[in-house]
Amino acid sequence: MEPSTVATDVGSPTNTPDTRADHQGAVATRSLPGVAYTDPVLYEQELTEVFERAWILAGHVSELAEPGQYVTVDVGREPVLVVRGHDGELRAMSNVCRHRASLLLEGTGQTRSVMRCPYHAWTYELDGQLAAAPSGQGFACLDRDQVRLPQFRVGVVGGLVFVCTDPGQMSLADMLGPVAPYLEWLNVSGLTVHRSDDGEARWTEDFEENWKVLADNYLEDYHVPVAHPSLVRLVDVKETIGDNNDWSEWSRVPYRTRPSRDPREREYQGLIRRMPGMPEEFEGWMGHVCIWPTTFMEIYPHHIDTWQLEPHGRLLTRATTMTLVHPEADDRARRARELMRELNVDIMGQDVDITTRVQRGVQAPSYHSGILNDEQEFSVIRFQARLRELLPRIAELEATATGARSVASS
Amino acid sequence: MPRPDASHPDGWLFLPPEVEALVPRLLARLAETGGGSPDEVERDLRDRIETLILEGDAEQWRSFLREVTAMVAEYAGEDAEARRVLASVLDDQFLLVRAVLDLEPPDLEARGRLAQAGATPPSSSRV
Repeated sequence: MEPSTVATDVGSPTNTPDTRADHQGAVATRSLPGVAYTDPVLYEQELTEVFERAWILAGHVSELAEPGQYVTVDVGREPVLVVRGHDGELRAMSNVCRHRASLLLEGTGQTRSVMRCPYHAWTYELDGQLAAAPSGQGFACLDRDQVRLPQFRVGVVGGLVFVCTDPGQMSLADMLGPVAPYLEWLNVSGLTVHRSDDGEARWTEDFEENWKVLADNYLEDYHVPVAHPSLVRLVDVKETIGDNNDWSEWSRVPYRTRPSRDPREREYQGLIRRMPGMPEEFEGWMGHVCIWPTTFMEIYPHHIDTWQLEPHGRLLTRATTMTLVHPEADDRARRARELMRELNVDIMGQDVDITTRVQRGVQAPSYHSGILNDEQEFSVIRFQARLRELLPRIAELEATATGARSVASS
Repeated sequence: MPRPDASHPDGWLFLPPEVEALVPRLLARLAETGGGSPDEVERDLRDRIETLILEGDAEQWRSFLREVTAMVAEYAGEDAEARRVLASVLDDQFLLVRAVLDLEPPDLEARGRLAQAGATPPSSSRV
């Protein structure tokens, strides 16, 4: 059955935006100030207070089934690896050698019975304990028993593996809220990671934009009919349902049943069929998931894409995509996936066009902040409310920007 | 693929969502108090809007707006709130459609009728 939480109209925010300004008797919810998308002090706070405290998607359990299988991910500034131990335990730990700080592992894959640093061959057990270092007699005081890769929290929900470097952070289940039963309901754990012909399990793309520009864009559908007309033909947005807590949300929208006039869209419509293991109630639906801070999921009946943003600089963001498919996907599912990928290439190009414009616009001295639509941009409102709670620098920037605006208008 | 601009054949598809969400239901309310069958009105309008989205173009959309405007303008029932919201949504449509089409005399007439319906006072600042 569907997740126990009652599906609500996603147009109804469940939390009151906490930054509002009176305007002629009405109450407006304003976006972050433009300078928040470039400020170097805020960027440092974001790394420490958002990313290094959040649960970050690292991979899928199918990639970590056997001892020595691993995935890697950056959690803010901390490179992290997750590896299955010989004892069957899943562990998350620093991916930084304790000797001269080289990264130990890259991407995803399978180690031998130990993990070896590619720099000087310091060698670690799969639980992070240093096993040996070459020329060990040359170290004046190396106590191998005292050298261990710092351990972090790891959690698995719906087959997705998350890591968190903050021991004081809430549980993964609490952060996911209604998303956890949604992922279980969709049988995400029964899928496997799709690999390209050359064996790659992740696709990355770098954007010369602040990470929040991209996240804001993903979080709202207000722009969809303007920027992505093909989606207007494919799905019936007004019938969207969903649920959320303060940190995460899921939604789903029905495909239109009548054929599009576009040949490619029409071919795609004819191929839509849910994967084995997906609930019958999901037949004919497309889903979305947003997990704090920057894990997003596109849930199609034939496959699932995860899309994760990592800040690599104030104005540089890396997006990593992982595709989950049914282990026995047939030609029909593969063709549907290919067509959706083609459509998504178009959609991504349209989003890049938009977000590039926004990145330029937020740097304009004349721009302070914008009024948000309480219904169609409520996820942006909620997202930015969390940022305001966690990042005191935003209040400073807003005060400065508001003061400058007052002076300019006086 | 770049974002479709106003000249793109799909450039008008930013218009339907609000209409698709609101107009059939509200017009059904008018039909109910006006003696028609609200379910039929709502279903027919949903089908027509979906057909326009899937097969239509900006000109056909504008024709639809004019037609629906007439239904609102001719309504003589008691549901002033539904009429007010409909008039507001439709008037916004005429203002928005200018991004893809120039308004023509029948569109200006339609706006006038919406204003007369008592819902959308003419505002020179918005034209």
